[in-house]
Amino acid sequence: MSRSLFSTSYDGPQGMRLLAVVLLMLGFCSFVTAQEPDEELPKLAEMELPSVEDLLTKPPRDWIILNSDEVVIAEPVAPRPDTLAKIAEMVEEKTAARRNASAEERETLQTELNELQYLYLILPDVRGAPEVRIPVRRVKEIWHHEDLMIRRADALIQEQDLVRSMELLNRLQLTRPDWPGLAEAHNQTLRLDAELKTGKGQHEAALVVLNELFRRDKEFPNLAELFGESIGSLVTSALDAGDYRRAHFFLNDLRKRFPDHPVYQSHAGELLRQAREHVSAGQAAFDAGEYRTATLHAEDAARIWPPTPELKAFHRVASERYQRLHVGVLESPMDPHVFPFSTNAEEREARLTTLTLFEVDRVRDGTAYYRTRFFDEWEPTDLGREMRFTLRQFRQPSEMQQVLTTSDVVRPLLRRLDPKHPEFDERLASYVDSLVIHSPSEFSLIFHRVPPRVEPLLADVSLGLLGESGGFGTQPGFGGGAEDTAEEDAPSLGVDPGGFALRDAGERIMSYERKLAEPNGLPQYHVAEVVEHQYDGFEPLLQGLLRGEVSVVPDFPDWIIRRMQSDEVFLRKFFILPYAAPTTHAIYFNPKSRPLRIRELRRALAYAIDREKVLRDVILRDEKALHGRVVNGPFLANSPARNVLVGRRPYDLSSGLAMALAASRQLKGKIPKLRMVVSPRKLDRAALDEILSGWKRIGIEVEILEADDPNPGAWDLAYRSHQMFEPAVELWPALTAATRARIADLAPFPDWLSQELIQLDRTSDQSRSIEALHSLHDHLWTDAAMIPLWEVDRFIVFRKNVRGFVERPMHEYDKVDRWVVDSWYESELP
Amino acid sequence: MTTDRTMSLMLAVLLLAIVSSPSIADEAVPEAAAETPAAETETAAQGTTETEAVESKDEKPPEPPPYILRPYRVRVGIFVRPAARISASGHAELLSETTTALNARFRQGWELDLGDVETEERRFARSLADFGESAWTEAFRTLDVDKVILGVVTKVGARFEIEAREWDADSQTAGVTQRRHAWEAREVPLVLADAVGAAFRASARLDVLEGDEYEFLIRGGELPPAERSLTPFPVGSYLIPYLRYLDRSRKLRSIQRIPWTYLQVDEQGRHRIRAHAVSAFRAPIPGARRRVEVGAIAVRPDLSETELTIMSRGEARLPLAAARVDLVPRLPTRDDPVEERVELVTDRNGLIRVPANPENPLQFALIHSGQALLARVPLIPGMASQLELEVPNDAARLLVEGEVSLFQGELIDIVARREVLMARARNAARQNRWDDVDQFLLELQELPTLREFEQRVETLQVRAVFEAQQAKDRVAESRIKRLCQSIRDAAARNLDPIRIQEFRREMNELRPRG
Repeated sequence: MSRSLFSTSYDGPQGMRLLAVVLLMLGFCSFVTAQEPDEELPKLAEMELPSVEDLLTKPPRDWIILNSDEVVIAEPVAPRPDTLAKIAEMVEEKTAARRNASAEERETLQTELNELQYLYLILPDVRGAPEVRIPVRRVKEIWHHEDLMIRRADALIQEQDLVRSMELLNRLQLTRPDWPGLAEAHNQTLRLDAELKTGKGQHEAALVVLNELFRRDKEFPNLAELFGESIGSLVTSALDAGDYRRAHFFLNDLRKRFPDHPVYQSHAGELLRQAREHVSAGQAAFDAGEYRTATLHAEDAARIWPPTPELKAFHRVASERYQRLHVGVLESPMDPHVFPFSTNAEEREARLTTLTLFEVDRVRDGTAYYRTRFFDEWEPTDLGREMRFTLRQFRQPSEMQQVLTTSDVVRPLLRRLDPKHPEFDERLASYVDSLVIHSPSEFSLIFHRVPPRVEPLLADVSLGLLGESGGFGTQPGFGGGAEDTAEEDAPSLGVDPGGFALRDAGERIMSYERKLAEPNGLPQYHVAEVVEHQYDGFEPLLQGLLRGEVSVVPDFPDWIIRRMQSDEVFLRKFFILPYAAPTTHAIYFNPKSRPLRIRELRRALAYAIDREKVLRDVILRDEKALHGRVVNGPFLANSPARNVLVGRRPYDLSSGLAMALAASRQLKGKIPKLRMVVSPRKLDRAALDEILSGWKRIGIEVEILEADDPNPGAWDLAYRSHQMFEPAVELWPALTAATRARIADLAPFPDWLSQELIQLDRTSDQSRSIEALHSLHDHLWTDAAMIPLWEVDRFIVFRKNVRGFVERPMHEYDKVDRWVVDSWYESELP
Repeated sequence: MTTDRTMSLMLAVLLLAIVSSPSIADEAVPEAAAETPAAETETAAQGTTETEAVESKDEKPPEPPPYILRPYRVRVGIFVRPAARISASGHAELLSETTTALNARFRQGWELDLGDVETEERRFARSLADFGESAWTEAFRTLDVDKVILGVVTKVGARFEIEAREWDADSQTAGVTQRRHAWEAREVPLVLADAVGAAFRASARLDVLEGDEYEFLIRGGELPPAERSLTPFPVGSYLIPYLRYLDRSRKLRSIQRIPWTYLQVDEQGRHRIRAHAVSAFRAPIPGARRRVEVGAIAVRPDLSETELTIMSRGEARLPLAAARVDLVPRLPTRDDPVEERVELVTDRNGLIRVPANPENPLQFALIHSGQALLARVPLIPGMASQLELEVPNDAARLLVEGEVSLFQGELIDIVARREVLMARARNAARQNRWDDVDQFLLELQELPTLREFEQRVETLQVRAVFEAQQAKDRVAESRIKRLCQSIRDAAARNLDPIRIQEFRREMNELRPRG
């Protein structure tokens, strides 16, 4: 682009020319040699504002605009800003001072006043940097460099060049944040930004800008309209997506800024109308006895418009009659995985849907004590060779189990005793000689070998109906054979034992409904439906809990729990309860894995895990490791099965390396890449990354099998977290990676270990059983038959509108049929 | 236990038998042999002492025909279930035609008494397979017959189902149930005769014992059946031997089965067979004695499998669960380890199901416990539905095997750690990191020593040997000592304290003075 003489460039020859012109025009600069005038000063109208590049990169220049509208470009003048005003002020001050001054002072003041009649300038790019002066009276206006920046920014705003305008203003903000006009220019930039974003449909981003604009100037012209446009769009799209909470947030944001904003009024009115429709429909459903529908309407109304005035009363009536408990989880039982054992989510589902003959009631000193929903009495006779069971004849209306007859209980027992049935339980069958039915409410198990305790043997006998969700058809490990048998047995289905049944399985939500509904007329109702909401991570889950989307979270990591425990505000709204027993983490080996039959390789793996560090840094994120401890057995650390003489295997990379070398010799010089399965639990995965890096350091490569692995059965190691209450019963299946103790699964183990497990299984005496467990613990540890890692105390969090739960729950849904969910919803808009 | 007197008697009987009885070679001329064997055999069977001769003179039982000319007295009871829907006339026809068919097949070899089942027989006929041998013996031993065969005819759908099972008076054993079927009523008599014929098991009696070779006389051998396929004891077939103990009046006092012993027919004559024994024992069959007869009965492995239960010997007689059992067609030797083997594992009840193998009926079961072989027995799967085997209690030895295995693991661990520590110490010494060297030397010193290791092995050995001695199990005791010695030797080789001392000296030499 060609530039005129008075272009914005101040460089070299042009600058010289400019100086000459100034001298000519002024004509009274006594100490400057007169030169031939060859050009005139430029007129303001002819001037172009300096470019952004010049303003940012070149030395600052001020424009001195004379009364003749001619412009003198000079280095920044002082004082600034408002130079002329300040000079005038100084003149006034000195004039006033001269009136009362002495003669000597008056002379000085006069000299100063004379000086103030001139504006002293340094002309740029003139050799020697000569100073010139211009009578102030001839100066009409001064555009400082900063003013030029603002003017250029304004021009850019007009051109909608937001980026460069912001660039200029930000620079100015850094250097002269107090410059007059800067704030206005910035506001205009924000306005333009918001308009541009709104124009592009980026309403949320526009809102951010508008919020900033609102913060800077609440009275900015058209600000309410701008807000209304953005928020209106955001609310509309949120409502279209069914995200009422988001819509509430924006509407509330708008209301707080502009209480009577028409956009707020319009949407709030519409939402209120919808909520009222739900309240009306819900009331009608409630009157018709459709309590679930009524509760759903109440929840919908609370979700659509919580401030609805008449909602509170209806919500209480409906949601306390049919109580829906909202639970927040990370993993769903529907998640695809290659984990060969039950995942935490599957176990959680089984605890809701499957009722067993016995369940663990409490754990004291590492020993489990059992309770049952189905028996009034179970008494041993004939020196324990007979166990007579008397079934309960009554049930409380709130209890989720049915009153059963002997045939209902005996049928699943017989399935366990039938070698041809997929549910066949070798261990139980090895104890039971016969089963005698005395009456519809009494039967006996006759043992030809007395078990040390009968409850653990029967603890996993589930009473689910065949082929039904929650029945054995859904139990892991039974496969297709169970379905065949279910079809065969279908005509002889017995009484439904109760519990919860899967009702809906959505993408992120699964709900389970109580099979036996509570009758009308009760003074207190209990949880009728459990709704599990799946979240993507712990922090979103925590947000969900705080927002009131869920009332229970069964599994938070320790660092979040500790954060909650130290937050008094949180504790005013929530209970944090510890589970009755910790969860043990261990690495098990697939008995079919050929490389891992080499003891040295197993030992190498064990040596190379820094268990203390992983527990402290990954699992707990707590230096003190208050809620966890390293263990040396797969059972509870205080279990009687633990042999106190068994020591700790140190973290010793040297030993790990030595063992790995010894193993590689047996494997013809190379340890193959091992394949590992891990539960989908996110925390377990994080721990595993740390473990894998330790193994890599000793030259053992391990890969994690993902859900889409084409060969999921071929795994070598498994990272498991579990609770082993009955080592005498559970150790065998844990070692063989099976659901039950089966002789056939012992084939890969050395005979001495197999026989030890069998002898333990055959022991009828409790004290001898403990002795055998101690010996086995020692041997398993020495043999590195598995790698016990640590045990972690877990906690469950309840919002305080839930009550009736167990203070030290055994699991997530311990006695869930006694829980009460009081009516509550977040009535304030977010 | 054999006393001197009985031994001498037995020898006398044997001598007589050897001198008097014809050999297999003699049977090349059956006509000449036909006269002599019976009388000679009877002489051998009846004993020779004067006292007994007097006693027998007093009682004078009626002279039975010679053994090889003695037909079987066979009682065949037929039970036709109502479901078979056979009319009265058809029923009579069935009995008649079946009698005819059997007589045509076995001719003089059988003295057949065929008819409807009688009261006691009816009880068994309702469910042939459900009654054990003792029940059959209890029910039929008083009958004056050699065989009781019960045949059952019923109809399932359009098909006649026919079953037959035999009980033998001489051995007091019951055979396996034979099952046939027919689609038409007119076929039933012949099929029933087939089943009865198949259920029939021929008997033999020991005549000559020469080392490992046994010669047996065939009951009614000189009364052959009509069809050659019905001739008993073809070459390669098997017999089960048993001992019949008689009283002075030569009445049966008891029968002793010889476990895990089978006889395989090597040569077949008209009334005589030569066989060799396959047994878990070295000398399983004693020769016939004065009041001891050695009988044998044909084996028919007609079942698809045999359930073999393995029990641990001792007071508790616990089933041996999770024991590895290898089935091999022949005994492995150093030169022939026998690769073709079926590996089975006993269940909680110590039970394995051994499938029958028509190609090679005789199998050997090798029962393992850890590295030890507990038992090695022959068996013919399919011969009986259930068998039971007692093996020594190996718990004490197995415990030692486990402990020794763990000691081996520890030993490897110690040696490997020692080598790594030494390598790291050398490396540290090269880099003049003498504090680290001292630390490594300290860790070396803390590793278990040979002495500690030997003490632990010693403790283990003393305890296990004591248990084996209490159980009077010398084999286990010796195996325990051997196992402990092996780990002691390994420890002595690998945990030599001199090696550590030399390493310390090496470090001291490398360490800068002052």
